[in-house]
Parts: sequence; C-alpha cells; structure tokens
Amino acid sequence: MAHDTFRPASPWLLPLALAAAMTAAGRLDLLAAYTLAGNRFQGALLVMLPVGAFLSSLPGRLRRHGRPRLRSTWQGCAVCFAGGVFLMLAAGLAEMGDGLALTGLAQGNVSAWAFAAIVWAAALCAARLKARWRRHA
Amino acid sequence: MRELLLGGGTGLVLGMAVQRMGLTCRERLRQTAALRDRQTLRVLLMSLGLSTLLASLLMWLAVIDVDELQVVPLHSGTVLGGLIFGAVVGWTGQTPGSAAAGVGGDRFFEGVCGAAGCLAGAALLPAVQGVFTPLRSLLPESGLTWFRVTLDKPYLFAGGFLGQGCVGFLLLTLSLCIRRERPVSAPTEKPAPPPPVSDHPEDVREDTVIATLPGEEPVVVDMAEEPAESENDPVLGESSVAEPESTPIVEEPSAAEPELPSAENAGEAEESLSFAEKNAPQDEPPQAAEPSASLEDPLPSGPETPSPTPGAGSIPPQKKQQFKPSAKKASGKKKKAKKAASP
Repeated sequence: MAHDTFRPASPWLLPLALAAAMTAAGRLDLLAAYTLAGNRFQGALLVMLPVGAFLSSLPGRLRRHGRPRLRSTWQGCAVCFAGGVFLMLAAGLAEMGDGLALTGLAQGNVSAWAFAAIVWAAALCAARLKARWRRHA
Repeated sequence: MRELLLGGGTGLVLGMAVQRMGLTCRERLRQTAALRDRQTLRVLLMSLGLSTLLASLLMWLAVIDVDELQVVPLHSGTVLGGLIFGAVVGWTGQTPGSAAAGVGGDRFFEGVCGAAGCLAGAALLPAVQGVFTPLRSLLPESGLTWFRVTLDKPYLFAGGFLGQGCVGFLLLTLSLCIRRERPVSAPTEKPAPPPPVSDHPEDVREDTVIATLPGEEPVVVDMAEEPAESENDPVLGESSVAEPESTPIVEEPSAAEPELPSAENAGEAEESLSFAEKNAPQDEPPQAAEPSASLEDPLPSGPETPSPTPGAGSIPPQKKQQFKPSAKKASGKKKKAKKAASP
C-alpha cells in the first residue's frame, strides 16, 4: 500500500480538541453541525476541520513535491457518498455520532461506552467480511 | 464571534489530530477497526486515555462546566444505530468526522463525496423521525454515567472525578501494552559451511578417495556428497555404450600435463576402472582400484585429453577402446555401394 511508511503520531492533539470543545460548548456534536441546526460553534468546527487536516498534510505534500499519495476513484466516491448517508441516518437513530461518542467517553457516559463498543464490534465484523470478500473476489 | 473563533480553533486542532493519526485514510481506519493496524489502534487508545484524564482534571478544576455536559440516554436506538453505524464504518472506512477531514487529505474528491453524503443524510433525518421514534422505544431509556461527574444525573459508581481519571489511566495503560510494529529485517543468509579438511589418516572414510599427483600433495575428495553424478554421466555410464553418437574414448596416459583431479574426475576414474575391468582381456588380470591409486588419467568428457605418465601407485594404462558406430554405417554404405556396383 502507498501509506505503509506512514506512522500515526501526536496522540495529544485529540485530547486538546476534546477538552477545548467540552470547555467551550460542553460537547463535540458533528450531527448538529451537519444538520446546520444553527449552532455556531459546531458549524465553525465543521468548516475548519478540513483546513486543519490540510495544514497537517502539508509537510508530506512538500516532501512528495505535490504528488498525491493516494488518488480518488469514482467507485470510492460512490461508496463514500452512500456511506455518508447511512452514517448520518444511523447517528440520527442512535442520537449520537462520533463526536458525541468521543466526548461521552471522556466524561463517562454509559450510553457512549455502549455505543462505542457496539460500533467497534460491528466495524470489526464488517471489515473482516470485506477483507474476506476481496480475497475471494 | 467568540463561539466562531473557539469553534474554528477547535476544528483546526481536531482536523490536525485526525490527519496525524492517519484516520483520513479509509483503508487504515478499516484496518484499525479490524484490529490489524496495531500502531493506529495504539495511538487511538492513547488519545482516548489522555482525553479522559484531561477531561477529569478539567472537570475537577471546574474549568469544564459540568452543567453543560450532555448525557445521552441509552435506548434501543443506540443499539440499532450503533450496529448500522459500525457496519458502515467497517465497510467504507469513514466516519462523519473523518469524511470532513478527508476533504483536506489526499483523496479530495472522496472526502467531498463523503461530506456531501453526510449532508444528504442529515437532510433526510426529519423525514424519517416517524420511523425512528418507535424503534427507540423498544428498550427503556436510561441516562447514566459510570461515576458521579454531574450534579443531577444518576450514576453507577461513587468514584467522582478520581474514578473517571482512573478509567483514563487504565485506557492509557492498555494502549501502552500494545506493542509497536517494528520493521522486519530480511533474514541474513548464512554462508554454507566449508567442507571439512583434515590431514589425519583417521579421518579417511571408506567413501573417501585420496588422489596423488606426481610432485603434489595428496588431495582428499569425499565422494559421499556426489553419489549419482558418475552413474548418469553419459561418458562413463553403460547406457552410453549403446548410443551410436556418443564417443566415450578412454586413452592411454601420456606425458602431457595432467588435469587437477576434481570430484567429478574422481568419480569418472572409479567408473573407468570398473569399465576397464569389464572390458580387459583374459590374460591381463584386472587391477583393483586401490584407495591410494593416483588419478593420473582423469577421463574427460571431450574427445581429446592428455593423460599423465604412469608412476608408482598410478592407475595402469588402459586399452584404447573406441566406439565408432559411424564406422559401421560407413561399412554398410560401402557394402551397399559394392552391391550397387556389382551386376
């Protein structure tokens, strides 16, 4: 894979972001941000999220002289669009998204812990099923 | 304005965190969910542990207002929604947060499509609330926390902020127990051990041939490693006798410089001895090959080879035996020619 040499780092950035979100607004609610519910804090957070990701990816882009490490495909775009629709529908059903789950984990909500455990179990099964399907396809 | 600035700064830091942990890559997120990517799993657990520790500390210091904390109730919708959410995350490898961060990552168009899908799904939510409401009421609701971190919400354990901090410390310890993936170095090929060399006569075995050349030191050749080569040698094998085209010529040793004996030559010499024994005339008794016989006449694979002069302890000169099946053909042609010529 092209990203085999990538090493995940900086585990202290996420705690800072969560602490800032919990201090300013009490929670990190991307569900409310996507529904454009009028919450300014969550809306500004959603807008600046890709900017922060781009700034963090700049050193790697400069090292590669602007060549992208990974490329988008139309199948990937279709999968991402469909996945996004179902993700928001599932988050709406659970009344919890990934942002609320993270802040709920940090403050000790039982529902957040149960949601995270169920999500991880389902993701584990789905990822392994997909890997097996890819191997046999 | 203050909310916009705080929200923008938090989004900036959150985007950097998602990118630095590699969660904008869908394949990596999928591998982490499948518990295959240990490095990302380790960093994620470490982040969660640190988040819990920091949140507990800030709540204890009253920097975080506990009245603003939202405790989402646990109901059947959490279970069903969690199952669908997890299945989609495992299949696509994206979450709403990573989809938004993916817009600034490498796969720009996939990030845009993911964010557009999330916006479309959020737009559909008001339309499906009528279906979701009965699904949420299958189990009784309960808004609980593990420890007493709020003033009015129910809790399970009376640990307070210290208990919550201990949970964070446990997550941190769990993350440190996951070993880092270290690069695997290619196994170094061990050189083959050199063949044993010994000068002691006790080390000579039955299948050892000692070759001596005039004026040179004896060379010990261990024949045990090469048993079958001499048998399949077309020059020396019996099958080669029947072949018309092969010409295994065994010549007498001459005064020319001999070739240095090698393992093949040693095998060839042994076979030549046996072959010479078979084809030797009756009045000449066959001479058994002695272990100390010198290899002065290494049988070549080619047509012409010089052979050494006979010396003390050397292999006796062998008769010339030439197989010329072409001669038979020539004599047959002559016969035919004679027949054709005669009336």
